Amino acid sequence: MGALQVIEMLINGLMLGALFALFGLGLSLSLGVMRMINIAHGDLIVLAAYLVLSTTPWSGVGPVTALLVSVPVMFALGWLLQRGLLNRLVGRDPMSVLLVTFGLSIVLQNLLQEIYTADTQSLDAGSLATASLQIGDMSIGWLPVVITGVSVAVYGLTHLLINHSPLGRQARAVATDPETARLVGIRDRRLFALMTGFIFAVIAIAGVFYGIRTPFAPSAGPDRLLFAFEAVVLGGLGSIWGTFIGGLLIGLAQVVGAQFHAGLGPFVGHLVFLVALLARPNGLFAPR
Amino acid sequence: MLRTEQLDAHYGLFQALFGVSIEVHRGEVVALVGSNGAGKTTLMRALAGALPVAHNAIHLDKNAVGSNSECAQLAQGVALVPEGRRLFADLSVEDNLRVAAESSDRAGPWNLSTLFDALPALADLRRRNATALSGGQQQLVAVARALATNPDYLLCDEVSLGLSPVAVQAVYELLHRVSANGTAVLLVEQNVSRALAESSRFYCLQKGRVILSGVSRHADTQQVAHAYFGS
Repeated sequence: MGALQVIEMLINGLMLGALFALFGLGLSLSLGVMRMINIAHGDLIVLAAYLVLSTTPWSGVGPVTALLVSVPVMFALGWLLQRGLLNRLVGRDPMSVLLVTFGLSIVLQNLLQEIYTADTQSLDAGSLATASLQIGDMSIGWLPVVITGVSVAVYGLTHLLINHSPLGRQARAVATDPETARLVGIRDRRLFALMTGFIFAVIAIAGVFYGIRTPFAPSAGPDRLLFAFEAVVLGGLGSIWGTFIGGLLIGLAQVVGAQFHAGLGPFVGHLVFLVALLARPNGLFAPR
Repeated sequence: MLRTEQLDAHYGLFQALFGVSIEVHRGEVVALVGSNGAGKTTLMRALAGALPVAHNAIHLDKNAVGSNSECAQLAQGVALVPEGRRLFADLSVEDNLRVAAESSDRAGPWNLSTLFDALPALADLRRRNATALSGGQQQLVAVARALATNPDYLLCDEVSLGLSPVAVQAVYELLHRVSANGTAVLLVEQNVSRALAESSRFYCLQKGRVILSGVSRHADTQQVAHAYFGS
């Protein structure tokens, strides 16, 4: 393998990782701020892809434009789920949220299978999916470049929201000390509903690019959850940019692994995750 | 007036307060003394809405507020400075105050700039991480954070615990300024003579009951100490 191919492989790995980072962001936020894990996270990413699949035929717009519909719809879904269901459970014991969202995951998978059958689907983004960028002798697909740009932009926006907005200040206060946060007047349940809405909006964005990049089926959720989890844990709980780097590393490991054998990609990703975790059990960038 | 009437409080099966009746008027400084486990913190938490008690056990002016949440009590003007300060470690000094100011809708004299004017020592440290400050400075931030919600009743739990005499002096200077503005201050203080010197009235709790109360100026220190330690 020449130097050029190695560079191309590394770039492709990082760009796949940028998508994994996008998968992990919502999980990172819900763990960091609300201390809850949504097991249906991966299935929601798949749901978001199907949502766009159903929007595009009658609206006639491309999948990326369909985000104008799917982002607000997913935001509303997230807000409702938190308000109507999860807020009753969060902060009591961690098991109940796990169990309820595990149930939600199963319901979602079966519902998607009922509506869309178990057949594999894909989102057609037209020329975006096939066009490539020629840099010297290297050829890089436009789609991964766009995904990387979107991922960085979403992380940047989240960073601004968390560190420089009233809502973000409240979120950080709740994350460090929920009891005292209530004593200074923070309405944590209302904050959580908005937070989950935001997380679902990010899921909508992750879902559409996932659907354009990879064919998907109703059962694809748990794998997305796994990659998202690896990104979060590898980066360190409570660190948003840690999740971003964690996602990049998992993506890189998968692409490098696939070089040795096409089926070995995810396995090498898990292996790198395991080794990194043995070396640094708290993740790479855990605060404190 | 903030008043409790035959207030009982429980932690699960354990009863921490038995028929406690106290009252605090606007502009007053009232001290709450008692040994460890007497129920002082429990009473403060109940008043702040952090511990659910019977609806009629706490009254604010004419309204029963015993079942209010923390947020509802804050909106009514009852703010608690919790024991151990409990600053938000991930936030700067300024953000600790700002998050409280932003979460409250109450109008009043206090905002970020008046707070930093009143506490110039903190103004220079506003960008620092809140937990990088000395204990005394942290306590001032904790009081200022409660003030940022513009309370009518400021509840201070163990504000001088573990502080140097100079730092304690600074905290009490701030509390007296607050009281002069018409805000009521209810304070829990380990140091009995200090508590009596700083307050106009006092209550002494023992094993969850009020066993002595009166005007601080006329208090017999020996009698209070006796009540404090029990017999």
